Amino acid sequence: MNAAGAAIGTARRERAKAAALLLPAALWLLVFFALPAFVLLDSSFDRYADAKVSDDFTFANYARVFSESVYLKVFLRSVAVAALVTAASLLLAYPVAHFIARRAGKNRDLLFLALIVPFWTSIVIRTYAWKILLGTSGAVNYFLLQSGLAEAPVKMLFSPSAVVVGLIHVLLPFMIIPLYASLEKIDPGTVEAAMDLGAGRVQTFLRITFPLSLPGVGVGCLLVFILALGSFLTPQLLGGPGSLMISNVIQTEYMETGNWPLGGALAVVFLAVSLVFVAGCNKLFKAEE
Amino acid sequence: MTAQPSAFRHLPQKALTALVYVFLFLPVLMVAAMSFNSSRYSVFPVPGWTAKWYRAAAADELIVESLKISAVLSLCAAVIATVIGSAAAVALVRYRFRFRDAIRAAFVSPLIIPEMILAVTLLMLSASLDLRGGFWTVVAGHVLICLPFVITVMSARLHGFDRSLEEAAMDLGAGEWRTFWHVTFPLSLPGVVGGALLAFTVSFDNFIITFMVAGSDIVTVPVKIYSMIRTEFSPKLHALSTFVVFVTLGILVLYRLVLRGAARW
Repeated sequence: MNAAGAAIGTARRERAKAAALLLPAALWLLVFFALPAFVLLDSSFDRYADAKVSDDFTFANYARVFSESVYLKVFLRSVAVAALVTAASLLLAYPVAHFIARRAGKNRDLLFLALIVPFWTSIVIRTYAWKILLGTSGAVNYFLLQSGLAEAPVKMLFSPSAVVVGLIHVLLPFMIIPLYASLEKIDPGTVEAAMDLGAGRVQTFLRITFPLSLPGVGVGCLLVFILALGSFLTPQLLGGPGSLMISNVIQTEYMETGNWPLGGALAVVFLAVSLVFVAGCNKLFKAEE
Repeated sequence: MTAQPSAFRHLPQKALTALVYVFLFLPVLMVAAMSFNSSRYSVFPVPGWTAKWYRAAAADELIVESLKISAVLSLCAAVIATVIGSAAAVALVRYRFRFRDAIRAAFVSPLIIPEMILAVTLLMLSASLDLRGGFWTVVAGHVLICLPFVITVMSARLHGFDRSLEEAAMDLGAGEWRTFWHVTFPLSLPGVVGGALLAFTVSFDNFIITFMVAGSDIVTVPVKIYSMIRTEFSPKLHALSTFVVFVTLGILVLYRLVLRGAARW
């Protein structure tokens, strides 16, 4: 065999090795991710009548999703809540991430590590905690009464605002961490150079720091928006009947009403909305580069 | 320009940062406080202190059972995700092939799909195969959401170590397998262990997939906590929650130690 033939043989062997290493994880994704997605799509065209699912092909479920105002309302509410949570998280997270990355000095590692703890703490527990805090005999009401800001305990739970506060609490680390990562990468020299050249603090921030941190802003907003849009637990535990979101409605169709085809159609529409959003963000990131 | 380092510099930003940390930590601290609350009711300020809810929780068979189920289930999910995820990471980092970036993106994609959708697709799969939920369907779903973490941690580790060590071993006459077992594997071990610890945490904390897919006979800790919040309230809930937070904290400390130990090589 000549040298070229040997090289081709090695390349082929290398490719076979890579394929063998990838195969188990790829199969897992195929069987438990791609295949079930097709099962879901298929089921959303099934007919549901008299509490029975039959196999004949119908668009009836999609017709309901798009014609009944309940579903439109839930979708709009979910998007509005997610947008509000994303905007509030960005406003709260930016100064914090900026402080940790550029002004915390030797406390930087400690402050960053402290962020990892809530990030990994069970969401069920963190959401439940707000039930204790915001309850009529909870700490927030205690301080409102003590300080004289309220005459009687304020009802805060089971409202859209409780859901928004709970979601900001749960998702804030997903905003701070990517912001920190991009702010930390900015060379302090660049900022100093702008100052030395006579740019004021505001101008330096708007023309140097903020544009350089945009990748972090993008990733943080994408994560928080998608996670808020799909949230189930927070509306379930802190919201009232008027603050349910898409995931709650899908769960009800599957677990309580038992109308799986309708639940399937809702899930497919929801998936499409999320994917369009992610694709849009991706395009924006690419344009940014 | 010489700035005077002073405690009052950037005061508004410092104050906001402090408030955000309080906002992030206070709720969980409140749960911990309630777990020592002598009253049955979650009132603030706490009227008196006791450890009786911990004793009651430890004596509650269903709570102990949920801890056992969660431990076994998360262990299975973490082991599977670590083995197949580490192998995939090696392929993604060490070999060049077509669609490599697309394949990497596919592995991470379960993280950007709303979890309720993952949960219902798995529910439908198990129904159409007549599995009726069950332990292994839940494990399958957990592995799916653990894989992105394992692959990310492992890839970072593989990028991080010096490949000339492997070349040296080969030059000294070690075969491919010997090089793998004596050089590559020990060097990537922190990535493997770190990935496994994160995978265990992801699985242990998962609620939606377990809740939707498992059926009534598999009650993990988060599902148990949820049902205690919704239907069968008892202050034992606070004791169990505080215990779980400390377990998570322990795992994170372990993760730091493993990766910090690795940084010295």
